[in-house]
Amino acid sequence: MSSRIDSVLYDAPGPRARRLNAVLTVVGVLVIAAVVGWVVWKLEAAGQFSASLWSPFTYSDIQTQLAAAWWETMKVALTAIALSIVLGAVLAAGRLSTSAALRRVAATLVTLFRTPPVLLLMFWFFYGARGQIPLFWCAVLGLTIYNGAFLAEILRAGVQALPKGQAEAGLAIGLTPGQVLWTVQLPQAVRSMLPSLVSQIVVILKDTALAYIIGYSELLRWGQQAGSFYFNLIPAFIVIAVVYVGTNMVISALAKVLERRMSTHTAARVTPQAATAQAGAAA
Amino acid sequence: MQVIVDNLDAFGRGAWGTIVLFFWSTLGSLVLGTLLAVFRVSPSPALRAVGTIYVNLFRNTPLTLIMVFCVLCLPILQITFTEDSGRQYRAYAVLALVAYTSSFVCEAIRSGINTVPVGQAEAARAIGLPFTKVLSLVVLPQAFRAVVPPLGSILNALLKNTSVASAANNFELISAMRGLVEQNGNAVIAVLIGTTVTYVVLALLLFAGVEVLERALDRDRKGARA
Amino acid sequence: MRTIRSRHRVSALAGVATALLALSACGQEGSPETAGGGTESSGGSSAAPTYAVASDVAITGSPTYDKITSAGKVVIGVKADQPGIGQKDPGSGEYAGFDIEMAKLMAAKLGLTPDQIEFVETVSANREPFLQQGTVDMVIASYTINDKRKEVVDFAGPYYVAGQDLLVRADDDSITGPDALAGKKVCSVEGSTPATRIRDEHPDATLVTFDAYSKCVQQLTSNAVDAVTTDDAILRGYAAQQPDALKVVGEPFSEEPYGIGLPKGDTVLRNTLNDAIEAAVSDGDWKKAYDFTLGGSGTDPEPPAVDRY
Repeated sequence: MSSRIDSVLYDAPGPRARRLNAVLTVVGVLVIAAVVGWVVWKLEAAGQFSASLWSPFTYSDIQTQLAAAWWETMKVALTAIALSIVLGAVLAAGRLSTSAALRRVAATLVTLFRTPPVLLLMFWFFYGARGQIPLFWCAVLGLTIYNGAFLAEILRAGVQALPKGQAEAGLAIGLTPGQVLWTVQLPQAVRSMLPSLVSQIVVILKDTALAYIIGYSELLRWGQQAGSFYFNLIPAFIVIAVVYVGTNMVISALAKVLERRMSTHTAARVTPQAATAQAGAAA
Repeated sequence: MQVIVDNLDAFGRGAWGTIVLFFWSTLGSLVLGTLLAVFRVSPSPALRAVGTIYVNLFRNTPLTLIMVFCVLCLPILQITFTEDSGRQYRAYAVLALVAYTSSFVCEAIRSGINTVPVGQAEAARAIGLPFTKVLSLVVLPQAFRAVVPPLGSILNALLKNTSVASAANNFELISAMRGLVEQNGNAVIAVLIGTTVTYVVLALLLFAGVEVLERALDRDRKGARA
Repeated sequence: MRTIRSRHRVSALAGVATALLALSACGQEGSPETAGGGTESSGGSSAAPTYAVASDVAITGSPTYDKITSAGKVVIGVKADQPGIGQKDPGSGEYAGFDIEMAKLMAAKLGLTPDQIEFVETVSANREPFLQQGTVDMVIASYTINDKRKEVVDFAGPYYVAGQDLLVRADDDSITGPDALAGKKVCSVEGSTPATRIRDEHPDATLVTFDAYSKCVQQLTSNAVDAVTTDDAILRGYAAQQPDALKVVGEPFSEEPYGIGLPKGDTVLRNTLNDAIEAAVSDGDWKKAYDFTLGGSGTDPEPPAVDRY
């Protein structure tokens, strides 16, 4: 119970403080309970708890189709993740290159790719190619370009945070600057920036839902169609929200494990603060 | 490019729609995000749990899902704000953007609090300030300074995220673009370029604003030190 | 520098557990009884009609037909979210609706059984690209024949003439036609012809737009809008689905001939399908298809005359 925040932001509570805390907790909880209760009451008033609205999701056929829709989302996400890691590494290499021209090109591309919304990038492929690019690839390419630019910045920050000695040691044993980057710096940058990289991957997964707006049949679209078909839109959205949140939490949990294993193999100081701050960049 | 000149008013109205959405969502998510951050560092385990659950739930849900839920499901629950349909849909969109963005704001402020040296809080407590004053007079003002850069990125993301409101009967840049593309089948690329440039301009304005704020806060701190 | 550190976060495992719980499930086999979405509820007659599959089909000079015979199947683009027209059951994955029956009818006249049809979901924006890319062999998806589209694809038909109409709540008698829309909130699909017509010809109505009619209907039943406007056939599908809640005004104010979209230049197939539509009208198959799907809305329209342009 002696977590440091307790001991720093406020006193170990005495009897009066404890009473006050208890009162505040009760008030806070009551207010929140009121909000939650109001939502539940609204749901009840609209008949959203009737079993018939939820029962479709207990059937095996529906679950199979739900899983198939989830897989469509995952296909977009996985392809986009793989491609944006490649693009990110290439752009990062460009930005860290010894050639000034290359650095400038890479910097321009990074700015260009991450300034417009992902949705607009998807529309670039959708409208720009006059429907000649399948929706799947419009979604994947839009996500790749946008997130590739963000991954490039994360990797660059990781490389720049490495002690100079790493690059110098590499150069001293006769590696070219390119070899130093790809075999010494980038692998360590990936390890030290893993938390930021993972939050970016979660961003990609969430942003696959934008493909719904350009008309691709993925999880969100399935949820909306199922909800319209069975007249249970709210339960349908709640079910797919649970699937999204669950998937993202599994990814984050896996990343934690990976992080613990990998963080020992980097010369960079792992700074969780920097990582959390970075995560916000990518909503 | 003629199509851009001919439709400057459509781009203008679209950009205005984006700005209005951005303004209200920024306001809302700063308030809700700060409140959540206070929850997450508060002495009460119950409030901390509420903050944690909220953040984990909304940070992991796609914004598009929240947006579509607000627009399609809130009317089913008879949750409405106004009779005017334009304002009604804007309110739904702002609600979705606020619900989503607050979780990121909360986390940025919380890590900002973490960057404030312990000595600051200790000193504040040593002179007898209670938790609320420690937080509001000493820790949060300093945390806000540390928070400006990540908050800038969050607002930048929010500016782009307003585009999702186009799926919710909100007229903003993306809706304006889609309308123009329908009407100008032969000038699609020009319309796309025009839209992209407008976003770049808005992002630059935001960037400049954050920069100004950052410098002002820096001056503030130096002043305080002197 | 010492910093204030936060407490541990609540384990993510709780969330994961919830997700798994939702996915695993207290399972029941198969699909639920349709809650009013499928063909059963929208149809007039209960048993699905069948169509005699032609056996002596000899078509020469049609690249599309050659592709169909060599593949052993026909790929048809249809709508997946329009009840009564073309709707996909989210459980079984089966399609149902008037367009679907028309597809089976056309396939039968080409000598193909329903098993030999592969349905592909199209949305309004990708019908032409699908035909141009060869993703589908034909499109039967509430596809209005017009001159702009004729420049890039060919049309057989029309097999149905729809008209823009209004869908309102069953207890709403204030909206009697397009001229009674002043001050009302009217929902349609963005960029569609019906939406443009409301904006241009009835500017005193408030236009609300979404990307699918199903969302508009949702807004109508939850009182967020007062009317939904598009082709009456589509509206009738929704009305048949929820007859107690919705009704079609029944004063169409435009003509939208639905055609079968084909790859540009395949005149042989176009003529074949035109013959097939005429045959279906005269031998009663057309009426069987209509009664089974849109017939539930209590209408009995005349089949249109084929337009061999």
